[in-house]
Amino acid sequence: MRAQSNMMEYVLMTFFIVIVLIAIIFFLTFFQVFQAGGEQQKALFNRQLFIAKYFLASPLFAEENSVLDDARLTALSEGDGCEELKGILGIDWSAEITVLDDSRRITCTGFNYPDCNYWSYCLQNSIGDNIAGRHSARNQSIVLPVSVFRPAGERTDIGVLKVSVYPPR
Amino acid sequence: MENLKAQTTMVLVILVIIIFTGLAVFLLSLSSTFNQDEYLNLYASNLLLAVLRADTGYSDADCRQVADLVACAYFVPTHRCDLTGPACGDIANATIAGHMERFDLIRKNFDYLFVVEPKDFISQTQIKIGNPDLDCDISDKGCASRQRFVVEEKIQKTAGRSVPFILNVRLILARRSSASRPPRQLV
Repeated sequence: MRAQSNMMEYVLMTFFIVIVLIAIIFFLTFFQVFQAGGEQQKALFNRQLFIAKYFLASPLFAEENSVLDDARLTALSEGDGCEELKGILGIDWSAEITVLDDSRRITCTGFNYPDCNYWSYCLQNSIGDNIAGRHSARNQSIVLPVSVFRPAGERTDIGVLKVSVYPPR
Repeated sequence: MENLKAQTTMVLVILVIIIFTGLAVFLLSLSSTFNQDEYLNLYASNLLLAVLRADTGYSDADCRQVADLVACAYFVPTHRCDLTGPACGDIANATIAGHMERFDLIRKNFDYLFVVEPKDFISQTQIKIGNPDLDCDISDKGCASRQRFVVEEKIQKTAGRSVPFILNVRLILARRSSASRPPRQLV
């Protein structure tokens, strides 16, 4: 009986140690998943910052650093502008530029330029594209103040650049 | 002997729990969150540049852009940008406050302060637009507790008989500590 009692003690202790080891394994797995999520957020954020800096410094958009030219913005917002930009900046991102002039938003096209105040690039909201529907709740955005130079009126207005990045599918 | 064995087992169990807890604390301390300092510094810098470069709508050379208004407010605050309108000091205050209110809707809960002073010249004369509490000494406890983002730009103007003069414009941004909006004032 005593031998059996001793054996039971060892069995119980072993069982307990196994439980603790399984708990440690679960905890480490959870920690790795948590870390990976954090790294993904960081990578998305760095990508947003890179795209925003590109818009501010590239001669495709800017006359000088942080001063966007509305004629260049309008030219690139039409036709194959988005595809050209995807070739440079990759996929799954979008950018919007709005002039803060207290009037209603008017999207700039070749027909209404310069009487407009909004440009968008690679905005994923077409009916045929389900990405916005799937990811709109999870995309991240950063906003930056910008100057928009309007050669037609020879004036510089204050605006906002919003860059959004969609998580990978 | 059985009593000692039971006690040994209990000590072993407690030891395992302590090791497990220590491991958890160590791993959690290694986890890092990304900070947005680079983004917020870029935001502050762009905000200052965008506000200074913005056109005001006045054709007077001393009031065309916000930078001109700021210089006018410093040197000749009673100068009128048009025949019947307010003085450039008042327009500068209202224009900057208006722009900052728009950005407050976009990026909430940030206090701001614009400080205009001469560069490389010690002067008591300063213009402050915004929350004056932000212009505090870093050794001050209340100041150190709030993370501030400070950016500067230079404005070159001529004063008096075409004497070039450089003004330093500083923008200080800090996360708002309470829900109440700070008083905006021109000092």
